[in-house]
Amino acid sequence: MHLLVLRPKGIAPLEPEASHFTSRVQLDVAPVMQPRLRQSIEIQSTVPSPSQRSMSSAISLEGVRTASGKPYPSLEPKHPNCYPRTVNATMQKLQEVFCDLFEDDDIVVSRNTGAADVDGWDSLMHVTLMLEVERAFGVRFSSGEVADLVDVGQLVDLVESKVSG
Amino acid sequence: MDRVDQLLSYIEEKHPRLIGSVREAEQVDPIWFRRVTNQLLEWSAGVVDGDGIQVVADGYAQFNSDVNWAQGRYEVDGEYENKSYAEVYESHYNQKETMEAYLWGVCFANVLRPHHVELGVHWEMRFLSRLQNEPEIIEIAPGHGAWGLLALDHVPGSRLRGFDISETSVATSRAMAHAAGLSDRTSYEVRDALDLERLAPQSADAVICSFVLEHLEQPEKIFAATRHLLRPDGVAFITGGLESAQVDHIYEFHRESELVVMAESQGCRVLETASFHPSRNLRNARFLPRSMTLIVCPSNET
Repeated sequence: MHLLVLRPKGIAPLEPEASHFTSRVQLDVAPVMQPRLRQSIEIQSTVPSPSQRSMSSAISLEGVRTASGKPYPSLEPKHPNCYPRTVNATMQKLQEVFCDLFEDDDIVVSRNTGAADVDGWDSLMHVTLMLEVERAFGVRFSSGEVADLVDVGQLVDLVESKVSG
Repeated sequence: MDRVDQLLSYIEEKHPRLIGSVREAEQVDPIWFRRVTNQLLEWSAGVVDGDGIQVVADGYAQFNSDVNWAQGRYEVDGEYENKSYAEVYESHYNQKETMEAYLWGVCFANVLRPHHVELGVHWEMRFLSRLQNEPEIIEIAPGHGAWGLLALDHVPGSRLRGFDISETSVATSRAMAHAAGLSDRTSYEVRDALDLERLAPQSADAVICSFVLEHLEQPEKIFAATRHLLRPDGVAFITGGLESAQVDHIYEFHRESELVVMAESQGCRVLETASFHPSRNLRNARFLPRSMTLIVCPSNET
């Protein structure tokens, strides 16, 4: 399943029924891999029983319809920038490395993130970053591989190729 | 926009991880930085094919990345990657394309690295200022040729002979001299830097040998050659890298005193030393990369 970041902006309960609970929820939605594509949408959901369901970080959008009444689009990856679960795990680990190294929990990395997007990502910090990535994933990079990296997307690909290779 | 601004703009756009340290280099001594960087850009433009700024900037970016990565590996492994000249010759010096880009990287590291700007200012103030009366200069392993040419440009009437084991280096130095309009005051020859004691003794008023020691298995021979070549009142400028990993660095110096003792052991008197290091280093580093300069003359001690 494609991972989404769901940030409730407001919940408006509608009419509770005997066996169903309908609510309209406004959400900020963004693919984890592309946080810059975050947009606000409104969805209306009818769930079987309010007492047995609660909002959680893991939300299934099965059966959920957008505010206009259309089914929510398929969450299966269709674009090269949408990656299978293993790469999401790689990105998640890289996210942790970035936050630890640059001492900033607010850093959100995406495939397009480059040196200009992260304060302090200079040529020297690049070396420290790559050594940390080596340690985190148990891989070893060559000088050429380190030099050629432009953005996080290339780093993900490189790590994945080393781990799977 | 002048050449230097074009270079900075190109680096900012194409190599954004580098621009911070390059701006820092400019701030060390803005006048020196702009004057010498412009000079090197002008000379190199007469040598490279196509867009000179792109070639030298890309070469420097590659060089800088390789050096930083080697330093990172050094921190992890605790020793330089290569131990012998033969290893480096096969993997590096014998690769023509690699060497050409490498030479531009080395050349522009002299102006684009902050602590090398400090070193460059020191070289002009403390060494070139000593050269007078149309001196005969010998440059050991000129590589790209810039150090010797800067000396010629700075010291009226001076002449220079350069000896380098690399044909690529000799060709580059000759081309740089031509572009600088200094061909008539220079001659370059392919010759092993360790074979210079076959040259006539006491034939130079000055010797320049920049960042060669750490590339050699027996760096003491550079001081011996310097002692052999210098006239009694001659003076030499010799630099070396300490705890500075690079793919072609094989001799590890850890203390400044090691170079002083080595110079003295080969019959040189050390007149001045200075050591420069980057303002920032790798996080939690145990090694501190430094660039050391020695100004030496022949010792009268027997």
